[in-house]
Amino acid sequence: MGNSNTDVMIMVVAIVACVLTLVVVGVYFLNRSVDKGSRERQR
Amino acid sequence: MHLIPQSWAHWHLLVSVFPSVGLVFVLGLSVAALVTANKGMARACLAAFVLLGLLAIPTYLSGEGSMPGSLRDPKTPPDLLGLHRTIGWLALLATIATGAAAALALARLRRAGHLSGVALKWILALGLVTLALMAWVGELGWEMDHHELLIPPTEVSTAQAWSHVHVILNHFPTIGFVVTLGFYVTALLTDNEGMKRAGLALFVICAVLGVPTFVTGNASMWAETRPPVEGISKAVINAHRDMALLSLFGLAFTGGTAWIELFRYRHLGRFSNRVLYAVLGLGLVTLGIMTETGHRGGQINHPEIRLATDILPTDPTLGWSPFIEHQINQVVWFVPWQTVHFFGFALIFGTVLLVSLRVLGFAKSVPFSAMHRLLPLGFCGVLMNVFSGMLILQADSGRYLNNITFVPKIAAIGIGGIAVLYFTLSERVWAVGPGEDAPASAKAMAVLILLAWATVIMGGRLLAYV
Repeated sequence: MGNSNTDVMIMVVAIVACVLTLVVVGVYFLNRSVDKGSRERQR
Repeated sequence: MHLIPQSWAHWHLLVSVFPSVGLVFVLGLSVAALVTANKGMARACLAAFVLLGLLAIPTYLSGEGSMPGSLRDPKTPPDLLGLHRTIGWLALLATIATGAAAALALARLRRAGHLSGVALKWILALGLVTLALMAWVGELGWEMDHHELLIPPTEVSTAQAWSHVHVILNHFPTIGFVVTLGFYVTALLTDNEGMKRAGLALFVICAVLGVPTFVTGNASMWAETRPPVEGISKAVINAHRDMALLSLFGLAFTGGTAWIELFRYRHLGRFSNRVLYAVLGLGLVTLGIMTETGHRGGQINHPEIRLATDILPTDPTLGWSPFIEHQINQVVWFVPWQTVHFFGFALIFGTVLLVSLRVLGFAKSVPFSAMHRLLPLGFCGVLMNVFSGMLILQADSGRYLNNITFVPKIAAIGIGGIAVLYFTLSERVWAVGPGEDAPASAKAMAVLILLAWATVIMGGRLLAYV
């Protein structure tokens, strides 16, 4: 792969999108497990 | 490569760091046992003091066994060797005395069923004296073995102070990790919740310590190779760096999983056995990687531990580290990871700002427990930035590390990381309900954490321009 501006832009969008997706998915499941555990605890 | 020592010198290098660096961790845990009045934790700490006392014997024997070799080394002044030996004896006697006092306290605990706080405080005081002597003897030992530390800063591209810090610092996430694993396994076997929490917190602390260890290691590489130091090979350093990068990620995964479980425990009031054993599994894998990393590190500057059968690398262009250095210097890889780094900072500072503002008295109607739910966002930011930061550093580490803003940045990462752990664990802050004020100590910590992360961001931005 060369180093044209388009290549750089594609790579920025691709890598940032992958990392942020991982963050969103991770935080979503962590939150869900805490919510679920809290509900079970209240019962 | 051989991991099992084949000489007294090798045994001495390996065993001698346990009674010193291990002692720091055991002292920290003893303070935690005193503060939380956790009898199980106090018992485990006393047993650890006894074990460290017993380690004085192989340390002494291997030290004496190494003497003939050290005396033959023309670079080691005999008076320095004599002083190291004398202070070493004193330090080992103090270690044995601390271990004996701990054994007596353990026996009393078993007989009477309780341990007086005064006895534990006396053992702690004895441990501190031992630690001071150990620090002295350790410094003399490093002076004997690491002659390159004496090269004046004017003759090298990167100051040898980095190497000095690295040879000290690298023992903390490694030896500390061994102590933590031992403590954590004891916690799992005895099913002691307080000890489990302390063990998980120690895994996080080891992960935080891994960052400055990796960074100082990078700087040491330049200090040892630009210009080259006699007897030190860049290829051998690269082999060590490759494993060091894996160790850093191993520490991050173990510490990260430990932090997630601490976070969940805070909200649920119970641990998930699955996650606890996942932390143990990750810890064991990381320990294996760190053992090989440490061994390769020892090969760099300890010819006395090399065997004739050891085949050391000779090509400095081979390995993952030179490959990463090459790739990250391409704009097509550098810019995306730099962008990830900025997103990471946005997550960290945004989270830290909101949580700190609540602690300082803004939005008082919100209980701290609600703000606590935001911490995983900041935690993800930290993980993103450790990964992207270490990649970016490889692009031009020789220049970044010699920049005046780099040291404050790295120091502030450590402070900021520990402060985040405080907000995760503190009972007093957790209890702050709607309309209530946080304690003054928490407010001071909130200011410290904001200043620390602001320093990290400013230090990072200035790297490119100062």
